[in-house]
Amino acid sequence: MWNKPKKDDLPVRPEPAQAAAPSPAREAIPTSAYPSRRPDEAVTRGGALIGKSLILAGKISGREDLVVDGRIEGDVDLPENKLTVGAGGHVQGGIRAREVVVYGTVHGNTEAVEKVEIKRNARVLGDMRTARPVIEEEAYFKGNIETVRVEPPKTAVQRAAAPDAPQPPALPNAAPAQIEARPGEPRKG
Amino acid sequence: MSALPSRAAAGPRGAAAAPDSRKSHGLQTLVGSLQAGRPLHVLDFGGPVQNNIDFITDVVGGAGHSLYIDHLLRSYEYFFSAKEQEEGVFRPDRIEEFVASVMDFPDQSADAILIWDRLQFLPPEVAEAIVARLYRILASDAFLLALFRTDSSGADRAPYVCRIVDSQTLLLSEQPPARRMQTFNPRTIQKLFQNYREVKFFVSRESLQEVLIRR
Repeated sequence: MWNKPKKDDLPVRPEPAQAAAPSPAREAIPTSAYPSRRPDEAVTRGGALIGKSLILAGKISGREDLVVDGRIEGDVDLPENKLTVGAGGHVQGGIRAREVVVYGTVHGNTEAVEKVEIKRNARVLGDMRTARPVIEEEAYFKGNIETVRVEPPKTAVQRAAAPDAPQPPALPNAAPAQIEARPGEPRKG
Repeated sequence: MSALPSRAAAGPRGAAAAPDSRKSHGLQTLVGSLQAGRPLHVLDFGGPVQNNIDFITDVVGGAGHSLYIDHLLRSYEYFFSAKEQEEGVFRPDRIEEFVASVMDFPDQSADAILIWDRLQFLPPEVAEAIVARLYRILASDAFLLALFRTDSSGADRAPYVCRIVDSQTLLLSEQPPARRMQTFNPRTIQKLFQNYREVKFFVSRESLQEVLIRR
């Protein structure tokens, strides 16, 4: 199922010379800006990981995707990126991100410009502010949902102004958000 | 088959109505009351159901509007100990604590409340405390929608997941596990909501009573 979109994905991001390489080479291209096929790929190539045994106290902010399998006691601020709270992950604090996916536990308010997705068996206590709230029925959610309109991303203007500029792989708006988001749903069902 | 085939259940291909799809006059009235030009606050104690989130956030969509979600039964089971639940003995201060923890809202701040069939699966004293708190929370003239099964067999039943299909159609399906269910009849329902201004019963099928309560 995912093989089909793979073909379609490639033209979306113009690659200068390497794009013309034969298909085995395509597979070898660093995929940090591509949609990840599996969660561990996302972790190892596309963003940062807070591992299972890690406990962090304090605020986290940055410009790359983050997967939390450990515990964070403090706010997480990734306004342009995606935060994934893994099944064993726990965030005790406010979250601000472009997109938030929760398989584990969040105690705190969540704000995501694009989407908040709460998967089955996840536990979220706190208010949510997003353009697109998605909550699976097996999830436990207790809080307020406020939907917000998505403003046109500012980086689109930047991209138009400098189309030939090298595209750093981790920039969240380098590729359409949907392309990035869909394959990030590996554990669906 | 339903005597009241719903529009939504017919679907684009005109398929037969699903067995648990039903017209809801209570929902229709409640949704109609939400068409106001000010920020609205809706409370849904049925737990997260994507259809309902989409529908309600669409109806009340826009800046300042909000939908509060909680699964009242899961919160109850989480709050009270297994022993309390098993013995069915609840100290008043524990009930008060529970109600305060699940319904910590300013007085008259809710524009609509969806409680579905949740009251029927709570012990009577807890249900009464919830109803009393809802009276405080609900805005004047606003509606509360509840469902009651008139089945008096005393058997445990699974609560419903109530999906809003459109402004007048609900899709109901049982969500295990089965729980102990209180028996209600119109008289006991009237008594439960005696402080409210109006209690309106809608005839429903399959031993399900739809009740719309106005504050």
